[in-house]
Amino acid sequence: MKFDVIVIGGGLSAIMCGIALATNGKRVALMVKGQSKLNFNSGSIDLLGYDEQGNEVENPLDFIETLSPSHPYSKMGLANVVHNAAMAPVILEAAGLSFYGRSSERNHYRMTPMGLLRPSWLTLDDYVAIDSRKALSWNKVAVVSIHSFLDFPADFVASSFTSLGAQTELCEIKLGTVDKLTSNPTVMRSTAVAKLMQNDGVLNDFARKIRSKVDDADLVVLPAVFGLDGDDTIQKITKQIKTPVRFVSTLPPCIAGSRLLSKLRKRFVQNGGTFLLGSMVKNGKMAGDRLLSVQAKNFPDQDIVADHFVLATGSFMSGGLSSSSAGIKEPIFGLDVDYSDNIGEWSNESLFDAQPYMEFGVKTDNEFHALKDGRPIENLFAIGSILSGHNSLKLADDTGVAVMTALQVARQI
Amino acid sequence: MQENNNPFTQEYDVIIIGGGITGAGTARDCALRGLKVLLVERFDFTHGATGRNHGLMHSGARYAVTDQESATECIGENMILRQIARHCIEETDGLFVTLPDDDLDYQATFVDACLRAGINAEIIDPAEARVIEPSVNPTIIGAVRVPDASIDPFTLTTANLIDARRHGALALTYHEVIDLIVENACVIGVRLRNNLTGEISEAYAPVTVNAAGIWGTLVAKKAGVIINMFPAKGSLLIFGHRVNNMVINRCRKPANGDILVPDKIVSMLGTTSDRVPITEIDNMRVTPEEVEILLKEGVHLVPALARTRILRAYAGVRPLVASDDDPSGRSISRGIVCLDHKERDGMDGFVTITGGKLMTYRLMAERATDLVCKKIDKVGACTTAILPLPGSDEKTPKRRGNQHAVTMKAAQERHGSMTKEIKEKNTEDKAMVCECEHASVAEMKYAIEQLHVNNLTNLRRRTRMGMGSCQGKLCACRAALLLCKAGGDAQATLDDLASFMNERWKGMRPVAWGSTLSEAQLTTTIYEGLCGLTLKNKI
Repeated sequence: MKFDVIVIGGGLSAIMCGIALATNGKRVALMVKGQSKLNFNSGSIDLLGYDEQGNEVENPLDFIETLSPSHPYSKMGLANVVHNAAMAPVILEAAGLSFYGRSSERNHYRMTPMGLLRPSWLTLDDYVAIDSRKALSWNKVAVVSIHSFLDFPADFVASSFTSLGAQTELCEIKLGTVDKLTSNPTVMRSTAVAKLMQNDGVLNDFARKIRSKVDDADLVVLPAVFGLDGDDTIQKITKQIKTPVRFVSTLPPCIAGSRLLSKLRKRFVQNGGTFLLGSMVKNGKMAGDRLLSVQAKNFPDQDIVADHFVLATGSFMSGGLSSSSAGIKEPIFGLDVDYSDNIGEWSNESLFDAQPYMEFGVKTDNEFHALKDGRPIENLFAIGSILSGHNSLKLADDTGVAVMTALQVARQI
Repeated sequence: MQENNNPFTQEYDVIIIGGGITGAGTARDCALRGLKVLLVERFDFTHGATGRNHGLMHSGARYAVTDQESATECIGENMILRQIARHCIEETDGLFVTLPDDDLDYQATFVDACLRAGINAEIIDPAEARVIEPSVNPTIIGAVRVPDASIDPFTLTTANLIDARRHGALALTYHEVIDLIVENACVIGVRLRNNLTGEISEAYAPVTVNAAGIWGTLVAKKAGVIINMFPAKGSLLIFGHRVNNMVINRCRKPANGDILVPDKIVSMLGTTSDRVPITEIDNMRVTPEEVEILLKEGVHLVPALARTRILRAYAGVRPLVASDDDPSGRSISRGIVCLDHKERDGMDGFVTITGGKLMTYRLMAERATDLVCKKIDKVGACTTAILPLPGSDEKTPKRRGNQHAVTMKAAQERHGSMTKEIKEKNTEDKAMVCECEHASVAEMKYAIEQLHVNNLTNLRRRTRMGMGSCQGKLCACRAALLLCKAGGDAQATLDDLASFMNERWKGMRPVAWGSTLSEAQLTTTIYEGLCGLTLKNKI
């Protein structure tokens, strides 16, 4: 098998890179192992939410040059960040994803499943996005919960709207068929409810009950259990509830993330991209400083050849990095990894302090060529969460780094 | 939970300090003998050593060679607990295995000592041992079967408290003794601080029992009484799934990392034993060296441990007491220590019960209660050895047709016949909160309403929520919602959620590599990244 570019990974960075390359006429294949971290994404893309001192950032682009040199944004430089940040919404829009914040350089807040606010750059435009803690666009808000669905903690969401100054009512709706779900001993998850909503009877009943309970609210907040396969249920529910509707993400699996993923996948395929699903890449064949091919478990005895390779396998939780008490490795190519030899320095005592392991990752040069034995591999790039040099939880830049590095590397190729 | 609006205007016969198994057992015994009991605990029940041990129901075999007295006590209590606390026990039996590096001659000494103590120790063929316990190291050259078992210290403590309450006792959590009130060389009561509200109050009784485990030395000091204690830290590792079905011990003189105990869905490897300064007992950390020692030894017992994810590491402190004629602490007893401070120190109205082990808590309670009764001239025979505990005192109710088999079975394992209190009133009550431990909304509600639950950690100790392989990944959020719905303030509940997850992390951190590190990253990705939680939340 031969391609122009092989991207290893199937998450946000891999697929954005794949789309950008395919759009430019490259023959691209994505070798995807399994699930993506997007299942934990509540429908937002964050460029930079906090500076390195932990202060909220109003305009992310103003702070790019304050970041430490190891940060992927510093590596590509401000001009490239600005360029890629302008490109990203265009690509997302073309995939059928419409975002709040796309026409502004300012951050807004997204509302988390626990009702807390996190600075964000782009938020799916049917999800709750708030410009300022002081001026809410809505006066009367109805927060809808679904009886016995525990993964949408509506009480916290309602408390949040109250403290933002809205008159808030909490209204619990009992789905007609919910008994069927709970008669199964496994827990009721967002995906199970979202599948239920694909049944018109259930959705109509749900909408009717909301209409009868909510009369004068100017916003109805719903748990994000709509839009699992396409926008069908979103259109139906927003049409049936006369009041404006916004979603707040549930606990994982997040429907918003899978919605992002499925639309981007579709776009990638439309542009001629190829998916090699279930691909567990084991290793690669090198010649000097070049990677010739990769080998995967599901293609035994085959070399998968390409001119360029992009590594987008994520961090520890996605399997892009592996650790043992002896150290940290990049398991496919044995690339150079930035980490501390002293295992005591990997983590901090408080869970919510900056954890040093969050900054561990593959070493690259400023063009994101992955390093092995101190030398850049000239046709292997690393993008997304596998990169070292920044704490994506503290800076709220995880999805931003994924998208920016994906587009940057695509342009370089 | 409110049981009495004015607990401090009542008169008590006895005040018991400490909400571990010793205090709970003593409260039960005193209450059964007709005393009016107040139990005070500075944090939560089982907060100390009771919640940080092996969950091993010793047959006594481990002590047989070195300490016949402890061994005899253990097997006696072992047989009693099987009768009175069967819902807290899994009758697994145990093996003492000899590895090629060990001295097989020790086995004969060991079996002989067991038999002398009354422990039914039976030498079996190593091949048979491999069949009945497939996880054991296949190279074993000897095996002895003994009546060890697995016991749940959380449910055991709860059951004792429920019975004490049924017999009129009042138990207060988050009430710390800040002073013993002394008059004419007699302790007449305690001054308390409510650690949730800061409120100060007093309660009076003719006798106060110090059942605060290792913290007892600090309690006694408040009456000017010196008890020479030697805190011994024991570290343990919890593995991500149940590797073994029987308790597996090493047949040699007790050493580090030579016991693996199955505990419901996980396995626990322990222990180490190191002297620690008394100033550190509130702040136990498992060190990398301890993890290494435990793992190295554990893999000898059960090779599969090398490939099993370690969920977390934790440490407890044994309340070892130096005998009074040896203040240097060279001869430390692991036996029961029951002190009448009038005789020992000229301080009347004050009794300390300490030393001992989880296994012998009932006997400790009996001795303490005998002494209390003697001091207040109360006649009453101890019945705790024959009266089953709540949960084991009735037939476990049959599952009703509309109840979930999985959650009800799990609830029965935790609460025995007390599951009759768990009512599924609507579909939400049936929903599962914790997928690892199969805990339902109804079970959470029962715990919140009836088992002294103020926060998520309390709830974890009553229901095991968040103790399974996911370590609270989603169930803690769901449980936080239930606490909020039960009247909790949203912001305070989120802060509680953050500190709960932080406490879970404390146990993961010493073993944060491999899949444990990946899980930790996933946890913070959900809590901080997706949910936006911090230690201090602003909703």
